[in-house]
Amino acid sequence: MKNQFSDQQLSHIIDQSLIYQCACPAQVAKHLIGLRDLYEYQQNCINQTATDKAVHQRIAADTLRAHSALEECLYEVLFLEEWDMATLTMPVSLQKTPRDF
Amino acid sequence: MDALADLEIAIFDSSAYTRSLLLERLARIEHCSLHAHEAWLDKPLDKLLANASVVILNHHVNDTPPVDFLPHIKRLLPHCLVVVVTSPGAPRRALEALHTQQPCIDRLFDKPIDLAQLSEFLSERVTALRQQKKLNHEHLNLLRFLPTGALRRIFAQPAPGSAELFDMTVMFTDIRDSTQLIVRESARAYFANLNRVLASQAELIRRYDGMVVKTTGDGLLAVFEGAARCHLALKCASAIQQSSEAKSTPVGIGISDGLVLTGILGTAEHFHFDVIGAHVHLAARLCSLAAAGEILATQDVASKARFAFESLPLPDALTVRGFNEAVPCIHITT
Repeated sequence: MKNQFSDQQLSHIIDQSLIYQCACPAQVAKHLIGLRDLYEYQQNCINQTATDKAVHQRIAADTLRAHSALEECLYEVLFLEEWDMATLTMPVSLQKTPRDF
Repeated sequence: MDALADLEIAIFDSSAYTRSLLLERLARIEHCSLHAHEAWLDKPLDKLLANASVVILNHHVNDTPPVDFLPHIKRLLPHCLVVVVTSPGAPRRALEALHTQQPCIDRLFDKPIDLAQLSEFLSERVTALRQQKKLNHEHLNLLRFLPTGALRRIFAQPAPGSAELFDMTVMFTDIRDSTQLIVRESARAYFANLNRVLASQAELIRRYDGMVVKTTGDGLLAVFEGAARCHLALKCASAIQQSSEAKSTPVGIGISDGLVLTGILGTAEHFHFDVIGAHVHLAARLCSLAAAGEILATQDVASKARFAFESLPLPDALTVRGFNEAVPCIHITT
């Protein structure tokens, strides 16, 4: 699996969005982590039959497609929200003040 | 101890931004006080968390892994609720592995969190912890008023009137010349002094693993159990006689040892734990015969507790009211 964002970078994005209500990039990052977990999981599955092999190949291929699409999505979202792409830091303007909740 | 005092929640979060969000939201939880910290490294945790009932760690992927921090909290405060907020994926798996190795996390929340859900969880736990604290407080109060053995037997729900036989050492204490003291002092002053004397005696009895069964006007009835009961009772009696309270308000002490009936006496409206038997009567009689500052114990007690004192006087056969035969006793003046 080719990654545009490392696991560390995804966690860093999530860390900055503590709260559910202001966490669009974090939600995408969270699903990317989920897709990576799914890919790793099915890679370790045993293929006992031809059907098993077909099932795992299908899951792997679609997981990779979904992962690639979501990574692109995350990149675009971060760009649109004007995150610092070098440090992956959320712009101050997006930080919610406590009274916003 | 104020059982209804606010519970202390300690928040550790290295980010000022997310720390402020947590503080603002959790401040709405009733009956708790929040203390936020940026980091835990190089801080004396025993002082920092001395009163904490809940610790919340918002763990960031770039933080130092809390591999020492979280287990240290559980060692320091085993009853403290430890809540960790973390990113899913590798950071979560690392914390789960840590917890499997050394159980140290009570609840893990994945980021991004629903603050309402976290608040609700904490509110419920704070309420439960406060109730637990209140129960502990009430239990402690019960322990102050009742012997621990009595509580154990009460919790076993014996029927009133049922009794069990135990080998026990029975000790009575009584203030000497209390009538003169009552006449000399005001009733209020005497009561305050009596309370001070009895409290001091009760503390010493507990220290020597004894149980205060009840107060008896100007003194106490206590029992000691176990193989070393005579030794402990004599040591305790000696400590009472040497206490500053006994120097200013002299007491006499009587001690006997043998089979004693213990049980719950009373009616449906009122129960109390009590001990009865010949040895209870004998200890009471010896207490009334003991002079100020004296311990009067049966020879049997002294023999069984031969290591309690380096040397003991020769026994003296005493005539005790209610007992047909003279009772060999030892007079001990400390």
